[in-house]
Amino acid sequence: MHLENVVAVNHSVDNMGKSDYYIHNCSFTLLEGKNCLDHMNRLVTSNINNLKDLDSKNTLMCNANGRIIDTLEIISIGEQLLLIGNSEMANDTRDIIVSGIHWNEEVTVMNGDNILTKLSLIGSKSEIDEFLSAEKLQSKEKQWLVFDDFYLKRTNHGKDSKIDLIMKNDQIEKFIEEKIGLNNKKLSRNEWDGIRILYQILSYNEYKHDLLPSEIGLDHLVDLKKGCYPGQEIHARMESRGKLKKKIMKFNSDSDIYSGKFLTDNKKKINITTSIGKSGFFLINNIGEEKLIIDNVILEINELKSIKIS
Amino acid sequence: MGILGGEGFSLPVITQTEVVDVKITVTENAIKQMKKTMQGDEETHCLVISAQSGGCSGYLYDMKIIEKPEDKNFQVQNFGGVDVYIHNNDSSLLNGLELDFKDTLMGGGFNITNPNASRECGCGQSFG
Repeated sequence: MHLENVVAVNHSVDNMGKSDYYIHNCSFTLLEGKNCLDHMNRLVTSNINNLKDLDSKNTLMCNANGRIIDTLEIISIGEQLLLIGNSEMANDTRDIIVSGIHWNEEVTVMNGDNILTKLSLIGSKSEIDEFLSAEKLQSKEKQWLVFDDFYLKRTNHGKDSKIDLIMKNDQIEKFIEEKIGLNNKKLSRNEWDGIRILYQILSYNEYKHDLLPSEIGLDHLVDLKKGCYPGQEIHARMESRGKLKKKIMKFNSDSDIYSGKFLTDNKKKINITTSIGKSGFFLINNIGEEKLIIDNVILEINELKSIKIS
Repeated sequence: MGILGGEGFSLPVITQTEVVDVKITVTENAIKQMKKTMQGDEETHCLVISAQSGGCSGYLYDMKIIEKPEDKNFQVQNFGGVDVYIHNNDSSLLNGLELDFKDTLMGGGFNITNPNASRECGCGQSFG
Protein backbone atom coordinates (compact mmCIF):
# COMPACT_ATOMS: atom_id res chain seq x y z
CA MET A 1 0.00 0.00 0.00
CA HIS A 2 1.22 3.48 -0.81
CA LEU A 3 1.13 6.22 1.75
CA GLU A 4 -0.52 8.63 -0.70
CA ASN A 5 -3.53 6.34 -0.76
CA VAL A 6 -3.87 6.60 2.98
CA VAL A 7 -3.81 10.36 2.97
CA ALA A 8 -6.88 10.67 0.78
CA VAL A 9 -9.73 10.71 3.24
CA ASN A 10 -12.23 8.59 1.37
CA HIS A 11 -9.78 6.31 -0.26
CA SER A 12 -10.06 2.64 0.56
CA VAL A 13 -7.09 0.35 0.88
CA ASP A 14 -8.59 -1.92 -1.78
CA ASN A 15 -6.05 -1.14 -4.45
CA MET A 16 -3.20 -2.87 -2.77
CA GLY A 17 -1.99 -6.13 -4.13
CA LYS A 18 -1.66 -8.02 -0.91
CA SER A 19 -2.33 -7.47 2.75
CA ASP A 20 0.21 -5.35 4.61
CA TYR A 21 1.17 -5.94 8.20
CA TYR A 22 2.27 -3.87 11.17
CA ILE A 23 4.03 -4.99 14.33
CA HIS A 24 2.76 -2.94 17.27
CA ASN A 25 4.77 -1.54 20.11
CA CYS A 26 2.36 -2.30 22.94
CA SER A 27 2.47 -3.69 26.45
CA PHE A 28 1.09 -7.02 27.65
CA THR A 29 -0.02 -7.77 31.18
CA LEU A 30 -1.54 -11.08 32.17
CA LEU A 31 -3.74 -11.46 35.24
CA GLU A 32 -4.82 -14.73 36.73
CA GLY A 33 -6.60 -15.87 39.86
CA LYS A 34 -10.27 -16.16 40.76
CA ASN A 35 -10.59 -12.45 41.66
CA CYS A 36 -8.78 -10.93 38.69
CA LEU A 37 -11.97 -9.82 36.92
CA ASP A 38 -13.37 -8.10 40.03
CA HIS A 39 -10.03 -6.47 40.69
CA MET A 40 -9.71 -5.05 37.18
CA ASN A 41 -13.36 -4.00 37.14
CA ARG A 42 -12.69 -1.67 40.07
CA LEU A 43 -9.92 0.06 38.11
CA VAL A 44 -11.34 0.72 34.66
CA THR A 45 -14.03 3.02 33.26
CA SER A 46 -16.26 0.37 31.71
CA ASN A 47 -18.01 -2.65 33.16
CA ILE A 48 -16.04 -5.77 32.30
CA ASN A 49 -17.86 -8.12 34.67
CA ASN A 50 -19.76 -9.85 31.88
CA LEU A 51 -16.77 -10.80 29.74
CA LYS A 52 -17.06 -14.36 28.46
CA ASP A 53 -14.22 -16.53 27.23
CA LEU A 54 -12.44 -14.86 24.28
CA ASP A 55 -14.59 -11.73 24.60
CA SER A 56 -12.72 -8.48 24.77
CA LYS A 57 -13.50 -4.94 25.80
CA ASN A 58 -11.74 -1.67 25.13
CA THR A 59 -11.57 0.45 28.22
CA LEU A 60 -9.65 3.23 29.97
CA MET A 61 -7.65 3.53 33.12
CA CYS A 62 -7.86 7.05 34.54
CA ASN A 63 -6.39 8.91 37.51
CA ALA A 64 -8.45 10.48 40.29
CA ASN A 65 -8.66 13.68 38.22
CA GLY A 66 -10.39 11.73 35.46
CA ARG A 67 -7.45 12.03 33.03
CA ILE A 68 -6.51 9.06 30.88
CA ILE A 69 -3.49 7.10 32.12
CA ASP A 70 -3.73 4.19 29.70
CA THR A 71 -6.09 2.62 27.19
CA LEU A 72 -6.53 -1.12 27.47
CA GLU A 73 -8.00 -3.93 25.47
CA ILE A 74 -8.94 -6.58 28.02
CA ILE A 75 -9.32 -10.09 26.64
CA SER A 76 -10.81 -12.89 28.71
CA ILE A 77 -8.89 -16.10 28.07
CA GLY A 78 -10.07 -18.98 30.20
CA GLU A 79 -9.36 -18.03 33.81
CA GLN A 80 -7.00 -15.27 32.74
CA LEU A 81 -7.22 -11.69 31.55
CA LEU A 82 -4.81 -10.41 28.95
CA LEU A 83 -4.38 -6.63 28.97
CA ILE A 84 -2.99 -4.90 25.91
CA GLY A 85 -1.98 -1.33 26.67
CA ASN A 86 0.44 1.37 25.59
CA SER A 87 4.10 0.46 26.00
CA GLU A 88 4.88 3.99 27.21
CA MET A 89 2.57 3.48 30.23
CA ALA A 90 3.27 -0.20 30.88
CA ASN A 91 5.09 0.18 34.20
CA ASP A 92 2.70 2.80 35.61
CA THR A 93 -0.29 0.69 34.68
CA ARG A 94 1.15 -2.46 36.23
CA ASP A 95 2.12 -0.55 39.41
CA ILE A 96 -1.48 0.60 39.81
CA ILE A 97 -2.82 -2.91 39.23
CA VAL A 98 -0.39 -4.55 41.68
CA SER A 99 -0.61 -1.96 44.45
CA GLY A 100 -4.36 -2.31 44.87
CA ILE A 101 -4.69 -6.07 45.23
CA HIS A 102 -6.66 -6.86 48.38
CA TRP A 103 -4.81 -9.14 50.80
CA ASN A 104 -7.64 -11.66 50.71
CA GLU A 105 -8.00 -11.83 46.93
CA GLU A 106 -6.29 -14.17 44.50
CA VAL A 107 -4.76 -12.09 41.74
CA THR A 108 -1.39 -12.70 40.11
CA VAL A 109 -0.01 -10.08 37.76
CA MET A 110 2.50 -11.06 35.07
CA ASN A 111 4.56 -9.04 32.62
CA GLY A 112 4.26 -10.18 29.01
CA ASP A 113 6.39 -7.43 27.45
CA ASN A 114 9.27 -8.74 25.32
CA ILE A 115 7.53 -12.12 25.22
CA LEU A 116 4.28 -11.41 23.39
CA THR A 117 3.67 -9.37 20.25
CA LYS A 118 0.66 -7.91 18.49
CA LEU A 119 0.67 -7.92 14.73
CA SER A 120 -2.05 -6.44 12.53
CA LEU A 121 -2.75 -7.65 9.02
CA ILE A 122 -4.50 -4.99 6.95
CA GLY A 123 -6.22 -5.42 3.60
CA SER A 124 -9.46 -5.30 1.68
CA LYS A 125 -12.31 -7.41 3.04
CA SER A 126 -11.89 -9.92 0.21
CA GLU A 127 -8.17 -10.31 0.87
CA ILE A 128 -8.79 -10.87 4.56
CA ASP A 129 -11.59 -13.35 3.73
CA GLU A 130 -9.13 -15.18 1.49
CA PHE A 131 -6.55 -15.33 4.27
CA LEU A 132 -9.06 -16.65 6.78
CA SER A 133 -10.56 -19.26 4.47
CA ALA A 134 -7.09 -20.51 3.55
CA GLU A 135 -6.60 -21.12 7.26
CA LYS A 136 -10.11 -22.63 7.52
CA LEU A 137 -11.09 -19.99 10.06
CA GLN A 138 -14.52 -18.52 10.63
CA SER A 139 -14.11 -15.28 12.43
CA LYS A 140 -16.93 -13.25 13.93
CA GLU A 141 -16.09 -9.57 13.89
CA LYS A 142 -14.48 -8.29 17.11
CA GLN A 143 -14.40 -11.77 18.66
CA TRP A 144 -11.05 -13.34 19.48
CA LEU A 145 -10.41 -16.92 18.48
CA VAL A 146 -7.61 -19.37 18.98
CA PHE A 147 -5.69 -20.14 15.82
CA ASP A 148 -2.82 -22.63 16.23
CA ASP A 149 -0.66 -20.99 18.87
CA PHE A 150 -2.05 -17.52 18.22
CA TYR A 151 -5.05 -15.42 19.14
CA LEU A 152 -6.82 -13.67 16.29
CA LYS A 153 -9.52 -11.01 15.95
CA ARG A 154 -11.03 -9.42 12.86
CA THR A 155 -12.33 -5.85 12.71
CA ASN A 156 -13.94 -4.28 9.64
CA HIS A 157 -13.27 -0.67 8.68
CA GLY A 158 -15.48 0.31 5.74
CA LYS A 159 -14.30 -1.64 2.69
CA ASP A 160 -11.22 -2.84 4.53
CA SER A 161 -10.50 -5.30 7.28
CA LYS A 162 -7.88 -5.65 9.94
CA ILE A 163 -6.83 -8.84 11.66
CA ASP A 164 -5.08 -8.49 15.00
CA LEU A 165 -2.90 -11.41 16.01
CA ILE A 166 -1.21 -12.06 19.35
CA MET A 167 1.72 -14.41 19.34
CA LYS A 168 5.01 -15.09 21.02
CA ASN A 169 7.92 -12.94 19.82
CA ASP A 170 9.85 -15.93 18.62
CA GLN A 171 6.97 -16.98 16.35
CA ILE A 172 6.79 -13.78 14.31
CA GLU A 173 9.37 -14.64 11.68
CA LYS A 174 7.91 -18.07 11.03
CA PHE A 175 4.38 -16.65 10.93
CA ILE A 176 5.31 -13.99 8.38
CA GLU A 177 7.15 -16.51 6.24
CA GLU A 178 4.47 -19.20 6.32
CA LYS A 179 1.18 -17.36 6.73
CA ILE A 180 1.59 -13.87 5.30
CA GLY A 181 4.28 -14.32 2.68
CA LEU A 182 7.59 -12.57 2.37
CA ASN A 183 6.41 -10.36 -0.50
CA ASN A 184 3.92 -8.55 1.69
CA LYS A 185 4.90 -5.24 3.09
CA LYS A 186 5.82 -4.49 6.67
CA LEU A 187 4.38 -1.07 7.44
CA SER A 188 6.51 1.62 9.03
CA ARG A 189 5.31 3.62 12.03
CA ASN A 190 4.47 6.52 9.70
CA GLU A 191 2.45 4.29 7.39
CA TRP A 192 0.59 2.82 10.37
CA ASP A 193 -0.17 6.38 11.52
CA GLY A 194 -1.66 6.93 8.06
CA ILE A 195 -3.95 3.95 8.56
CA ARG A 196 -4.87 5.17 12.05
CA ILE A 197 -5.89 8.52 10.63
CA LEU A 198 -7.95 6.84 7.92
CA TYR A 199 -9.71 4.47 10.34
CA GLN A 200 -9.87 7.05 13.20
CA ILE A 201 -7.81 4.97 15.61
CA LEU A 202 -6.18 6.99 18.38
CA SER A 203 -2.87 6.13 19.98
CA TYR A 204 -0.56 7.22 22.81
CA ASN A 205 0.24 10.30 20.65
CA GLU A 206 -3.24 11.49 21.58
CA TYR A 207 -3.66 10.08 25.12
CA LYS A 208 -0.44 11.49 26.49
CA HIS A 209 -1.81 15.04 26.71
CA ASP A 210 -3.50 14.57 30.10
CA LEU A 211 -7.00 14.44 28.63
CA LEU A 212 -10.46 13.52 29.82
CA PRO A 213 -12.15 10.72 27.81
CA SER A 214 -14.80 13.13 26.49
CA GLU A 215 -12.11 15.47 25.13
CA ILE A 216 -10.98 12.82 22.65
CA GLY A 217 -14.37 11.32 21.92
CA LEU A 218 -13.97 8.25 24.11
CA ASP A 219 -17.16 8.74 26.17
CA HIS A 220 -18.39 5.40 24.86
CA LEU A 221 -15.70 3.71 26.94
CA VAL A 222 -17.03 5.27 30.16
CA ASP A 223 -19.88 3.65 32.05
CA LEU A 224 -21.15 6.00 34.76
CA LYS A 225 -23.64 3.41 35.99
CA LYS A 226 -21.07 0.78 36.94
CA GLY A 227 -20.20 2.35 40.30
CA CYS A 228 -17.04 3.99 41.54
CA TYR A 229 -13.74 3.79 39.68
CA PRO A 230 -10.81 6.24 39.74
CA GLY A 231 -11.94 9.40 37.95
CA GLN A 232 -15.66 8.61 38.07
CA GLU A 233 -16.61 11.72 40.06
CA ILE A 234 -14.96 13.98 37.48
CA HIS A 235 -16.49 12.13 34.53
CA ALA A 236 -19.97 12.41 36.08
CA ARG A 237 -19.49 16.13 36.67
CA MET A 238 -18.32 16.68 33.08
CA GLU A 239 -21.37 14.85 31.78
CA SER A 240 -23.81 16.86 33.86
CA ARG A 241 -22.17 20.18 32.94
CA GLY A 242 -21.84 19.22 29.29
CA LYS A 243 -19.14 21.77 28.57
CA LEU A 244 -16.07 20.64 26.70
CA LYS A 245 -12.99 22.76 26.47
CA LYS A 246 -10.85 20.61 24.21
CA LYS A 247 -11.78 18.56 21.20
CA ILE A 248 -9.92 16.19 18.89
CA MET A 249 -10.34 16.62 15.15
CA LYS A 250 -8.84 15.46 11.89
CA PHE A 251 -7.19 17.71 9.30
CA ASN A 252 -6.19 17.51 5.66
CA SER A 253 -4.01 20.09 3.98
CA ASP A 254 -2.25 20.80 0.67
CA SER A 255 1.15 21.28 2.31
CA ASP A 256 2.94 19.32 4.97
CA ILE A 257 2.44 20.20 8.62
CA TYR A 258 3.99 18.01 11.29
CA SER A 259 3.25 17.29 14.95
CA GLY A 260 3.65 20.09 17.47
CA LYS A 261 1.93 23.11 18.96
CA PHE A 262 0.92 25.95 16.64
CA LEU A 263 -0.84 29.28 16.73
CA THR A 264 -3.24 29.79 13.85
CA ASP A 265 -3.69 33.07 11.97
CA ASN A 266 -6.71 33.89 14.16
CA LYS A 267 -4.66 33.16 17.33
CA LYS A 268 -6.14 29.72 18.09
CA LYS A 269 -3.79 27.31 19.83
CA ILE A 270 -3.75 23.90 18.23
CA ASN A 271 -1.77 20.81 19.10
CA ILE A 272 -1.13 18.42 16.21
CA THR A 273 -0.78 15.05 17.94
CA THR A 274 -0.30 12.84 14.87
CA SER A 275 0.67 13.88 11.37
CA ILE A 276 1.81 12.12 8.24
CA GLY A 277 2.31 15.46 6.52
CA LYS A 278 -0.92 16.36 4.80
CA SER A 279 -3.24 14.60 7.20
CA GLY A 280 -3.47 14.07 10.94
CA PHE A 281 -5.20 14.51 14.28
CA PHE A 282 -5.14 17.69 16.33
CA LEU A 283 -6.46 19.00 19.64
CA ILE A 284 -8.08 22.41 19.82
CA ASN A 285 -9.81 24.54 22.47
CA ASN A 286 -13.30 25.91 21.77
CA ILE A 287 -13.52 25.33 18.02
CA GLY A 288 -16.11 27.33 16.10
CA GLU A 289 -16.91 27.72 12.42
CA GLU A 290 -13.68 29.55 11.66
CA LYS A 291 -11.04 28.56 9.10
CA LEU A 292 -7.75 27.35 10.53
CA ILE A 293 -4.64 28.62 8.78
CA ILE A 294 -1.06 27.93 9.91
CA ASP A 295 1.78 29.68 8.06
CA ASN A 296 -0.45 30.17 4.98
CA VAL A 297 -1.50 26.49 4.98
CA ILE A 298 -5.27 26.04 5.17
CA LEU A 299 -6.42 23.10 7.27
CA GLU A 300 -9.53 21.35 6.05
CA ILE A 301 -11.01 20.08 9.30
CA ASN A 302 -13.30 17.13 9.91
CA GLU A 303 -15.17 15.88 12.96
CA LEU A 304 -14.15 12.42 14.14
CA LYS A 305 -16.94 9.91 14.25
CA SER A 306 -16.72 6.40 15.63
CA ILE A 307 -13.35 6.86 17.29
CA LYS A 308 -11.44 3.68 18.12
CA ILE A 309 -8.51 2.87 20.35
CA SER A 310 -7.21 -0.28 18.65
CA MET B 1 -5.18 -24.06 23.76
CA GLY B 2 -3.38 -20.91 22.54
CA ILE B 3 -0.09 -19.44 23.68
CA LEU B 4 -1.11 -18.63 27.21
CA GLY B 5 -2.08 -22.17 28.09
CA GLY B 6 0.86 -23.80 26.37
CA GLU B 7 3.23 -26.13 28.16
CA GLY B 8 6.39 -24.53 29.43
CA PHE B 9 5.01 -21.05 28.91
CA SER B 10 5.37 -18.72 31.85
CA LEU B 11 5.67 -14.98 32.33
CA PRO B 12 7.54 -13.07 35.04
CA VAL B 13 5.31 -12.36 38.04
CA ILE B 14 5.20 -8.80 39.36
CA THR B 15 5.05 -8.38 43.12
CA GLN B 16 4.83 -5.37 45.34
CA THR B 17 8.16 -4.79 47.01
CA GLU B 18 7.81 -1.77 49.28
CA VAL B 19 7.13 -2.88 52.85
CA VAL B 20 7.42 -0.39 55.74
CA ASP B 21 7.06 -0.81 59.50
CA VAL B 22 3.52 0.26 60.22
CA LYS B 23 2.65 2.51 63.11
CA ILE B 24 -0.96 3.61 63.48
CA THR B 25 -2.96 5.34 66.19
CA VAL B 26 -6.40 4.38 67.45
CA THR B 27 -8.47 6.76 69.60
CA GLU B 28 -10.09 5.77 72.89
CA ASN B 29 -13.52 5.99 71.24
CA ALA B 30 -12.43 3.61 68.49
CA ILE B 31 -10.97 1.11 70.99
CA LYS B 32 -14.22 1.19 72.99
CA GLN B 33 -16.26 0.54 69.85
CA MET B 34 -13.94 -2.25 68.61
CA LYS B 35 -14.34 -4.05 71.96
CA LYS B 36 -18.10 -3.58 71.87
CA THR B 37 -18.26 -5.06 68.35
CA MET B 38 -15.98 -7.99 69.21
CA GLN B 39 -18.13 -8.96 72.23
CA GLY B 40 -15.30 -10.63 74.16
CA ASP B 41 -13.69 -12.40 71.15
CA GLU B 42 -10.51 -10.33 71.38
CA GLU B 43 -8.39 -13.42 72.14
CA THR B 44 -9.31 -15.20 68.92
CA HIS B 45 -10.31 -12.35 66.60
CA CYS B 46 -8.70 -9.21 65.27
CA LEU B 47 -9.49 -6.14 63.22
CA VAL B 48 -7.90 -6.10 59.75
CA ILE B 49 -7.55 -2.69 58.12
CA SER B 50 -6.67 -2.91 54.44
CA ALA B 51 -6.74 -1.08 51.14
CA GLN B 52 -7.83 -2.23 47.71
CA SER B 53 -7.93 -0.59 44.33
CA GLY B 54 -11.05 1.27 43.29
CA GLY B 55 -13.25 4.07 44.50
CA CYS B 56 -13.23 7.55 43.03
CA SER B 57 -9.74 8.37 44.30
CA GLY B 58 -7.82 5.17 43.53
CA TYR B 59 -8.02 3.05 46.69
CA LEU B 60 -10.77 1.92 49.03
CA TYR B 61 -10.44 1.26 52.75
CA ASP B 62 -11.66 -2.07 54.05
CA MET B 63 -12.15 -3.08 57.70
CA LYS B 64 -13.05 -6.57 58.80
CA ILE B 65 -13.20 -8.45 62.09
CA ILE B 66 -11.97 -11.96 61.41
CA GLU B 67 -10.31 -14.88 63.21
CA LYS B 68 -6.64 -14.08 63.68
CA PRO B 69 -4.92 -15.18 60.46
CA GLU B 70 -1.74 -17.24 60.58
CA ASP B 71 -0.36 -15.37 57.59
CA LYS B 72 3.09 -14.02 58.50
CA ASN B 73 2.69 -11.12 56.07
CA PHE B 74 0.64 -9.17 58.61
CA GLN B 75 1.97 -6.58 61.04
CA VAL B 76 0.15 -6.55 64.38
CA GLN B 77 -0.41 -3.77 66.89
CA ASN B 78 -2.41 -4.08 70.10
CA PHE B 79 -4.76 -1.35 71.33
CA GLY B 80 -6.41 -1.91 74.73
CA GLY B 81 -6.43 -5.66 74.21
CA VAL B 82 -7.61 -5.59 70.57
CA ASP B 83 -5.16 -6.71 67.86
CA VAL B 84 -5.17 -4.62 64.68
CA TYR B 85 -3.65 -6.34 61.64
CA ILE B 86 -2.27 -4.59 58.55
CA HIS B 87 -0.93 -6.61 55.62
CA ASN B 88 2.60 -5.89 54.36
CA ASN B 89 1.14 -5.13 50.91
CA ASP B 90 -0.81 -2.22 52.43
CA SER B 91 1.93 -1.03 54.76
CA SER B 92 3.09 1.93 52.67
CA LEU B 93 -0.48 3.05 51.98
CA LEU B 94 -1.73 2.80 55.56
CA ASN B 95 1.30 3.65 57.71
CA GLY B 96 0.56 6.55 60.04
CA LEU B 97 -3.23 6.38 59.82
CA GLU B 98 -5.48 7.35 62.70
CA LEU B 99 -8.62 5.35 63.42
CA ASP B 100 -11.40 7.18 65.23
CA PHE B 101 -15.03 6.46 66.00
CA LYS B 102 -17.75 9.11 66.00
CA ASP B 103 -20.91 8.28 67.89
CA THR B 104 -23.27 10.53 65.96
CA LEU B 105 -26.46 9.79 64.03
CA MET B 106 -25.28 11.73 60.97
CA GLY B 107 -21.86 10.82 59.55
CA GLY B 108 -21.07 8.57 62.49
CA GLY B 109 -19.04 5.36 62.58
CA PHE B 110 -15.37 4.51 62.15
CA ASN B 111 -13.38 7.23 60.51
CA ILE B 112 -9.86 6.98 59.01
CA THR B 113 -7.43 9.87 58.67
CA ASN B 114 -4.55 8.90 56.43
CA PRO B 115 -1.43 11.08 56.10
CA ASN B 116 -0.49 9.26 52.88
CA ALA B 117 -3.69 10.34 51.12
CA SER B 118 -3.28 13.31 48.83
CA ARG B 119 -7.03 13.29 48.21
CA GLU B 120 -10.11 11.65 49.63
CA CYS B 121 -13.57 10.98 48.31
CA GLY B 122 -16.53 12.79 49.91
CA CYS B 123 -17.82 9.51 51.34
CA GLY B 124 -14.52 8.97 53.21
CA GLN B 125 -14.11 5.42 51.89
CA SER B 126 -11.79 6.20 49.02
CA PHE B 127 -8.36 7.82 49.01
CA GLY B 128 -5.51 8.32 46.63
